Amino acid sequence: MARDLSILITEIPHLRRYAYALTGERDFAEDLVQSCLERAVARFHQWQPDRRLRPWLFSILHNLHADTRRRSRPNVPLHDVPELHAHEESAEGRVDAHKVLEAIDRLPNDQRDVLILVGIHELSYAEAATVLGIPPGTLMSRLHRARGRLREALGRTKSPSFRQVL
Amino acid sequence: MVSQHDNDMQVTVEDIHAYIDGELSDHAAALVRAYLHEHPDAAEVAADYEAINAAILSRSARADALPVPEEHIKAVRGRRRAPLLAASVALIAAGASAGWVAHGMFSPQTNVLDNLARETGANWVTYAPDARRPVELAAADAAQLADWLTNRTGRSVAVPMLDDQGFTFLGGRLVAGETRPAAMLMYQDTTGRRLVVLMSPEFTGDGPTGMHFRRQTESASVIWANGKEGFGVAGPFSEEELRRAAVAVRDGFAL
Repeated sequence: MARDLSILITEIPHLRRYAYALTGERDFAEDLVQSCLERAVARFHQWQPDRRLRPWLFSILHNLHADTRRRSRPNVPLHDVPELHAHEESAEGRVDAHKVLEAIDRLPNDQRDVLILVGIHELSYAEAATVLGIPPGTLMSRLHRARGRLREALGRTKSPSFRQVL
Repeated sequence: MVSQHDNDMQVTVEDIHAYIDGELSDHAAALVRAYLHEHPDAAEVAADYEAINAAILSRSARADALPVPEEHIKAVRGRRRAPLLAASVALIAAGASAGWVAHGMFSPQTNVLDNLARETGANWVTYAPDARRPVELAAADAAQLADWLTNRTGRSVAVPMLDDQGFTFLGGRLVAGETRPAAMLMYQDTTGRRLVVLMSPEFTGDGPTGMHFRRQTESASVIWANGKEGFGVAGPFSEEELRRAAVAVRDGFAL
């Protein structure tokens, strides 16, 4: 007897939120969700019901997205990533969401992946680390570097260093 | 990690991240909150981290505002369920003609639920996106609205309050049914997503049906009937959210 797939239906809104945050683009996001669901249905027997379903699904979606990225453009070496401009500070220190999103899309992929997966508030740090296949410590340091870099893009002059006692 | 000895609090940058992302225990979060209150520089860092998350959430929120493509549901339901789906579409097209019922695929109770799901979904599609006039009588006129709906539907219509479920009452209106009018109430959550409640004196079933969840193209619904009235709640929400609202609606009408 096949296991009941209908629990996948309730995860669709969460997968879509993740995909929209990852791609910022409707068609691509829905394609990702569609491929993710197809793959999840085909591999449903691999899911262990004692684990949460959402991280399992998110890791499928993450891998699909990473595959697409690998296929669509060559890996940009880190030193070729354009520097973010510190002078782009918005008026009176207010944070401009468009500017932030632009800066997010220019982050190195490993930092961007962590920042977005944590930022959508669907998973815990531990689950996010599992989805991305990295140790929790790596997740924290990438998160910190990503946010520090974005603060620079917002024109903040100094950011605290990692593990600094404030 | 957050530690406190002799009132000399130590908060690390890691704690600020964890605080913003809701990773801390209530106790630890309270310590960080107090610390930020006393340290404007750290508070500015935290505010920036929060703004970064808000920008990301603005992208993910678009998913909630756009309809779920039917292909997603089909990907899960698969071919095994396809004949049933096709049949229910035909059933709606045929207006629940006797042929299908005689076919033996649907019990009358299933029919009632299908009708309720369709009617509730149709009302959501029609009225929920209406920015200017989603309701005829607003929440301020709740008493007048209840009288009107009671008079026209022939059922006692109470306005259930769903604030505990995260929904503010917007108002309601009388809506068309197939053979007699129904009552529609509308609610909204803090993100602007709208919930439609339908009470139908038409699709009532033979007795209690229990609550059923249905996923539609642009929304989902929870529907039930008690033999005297049929009910539906619909909107772009999870099954859990809809069931919570449905229970409150059922209890509100039972008062």
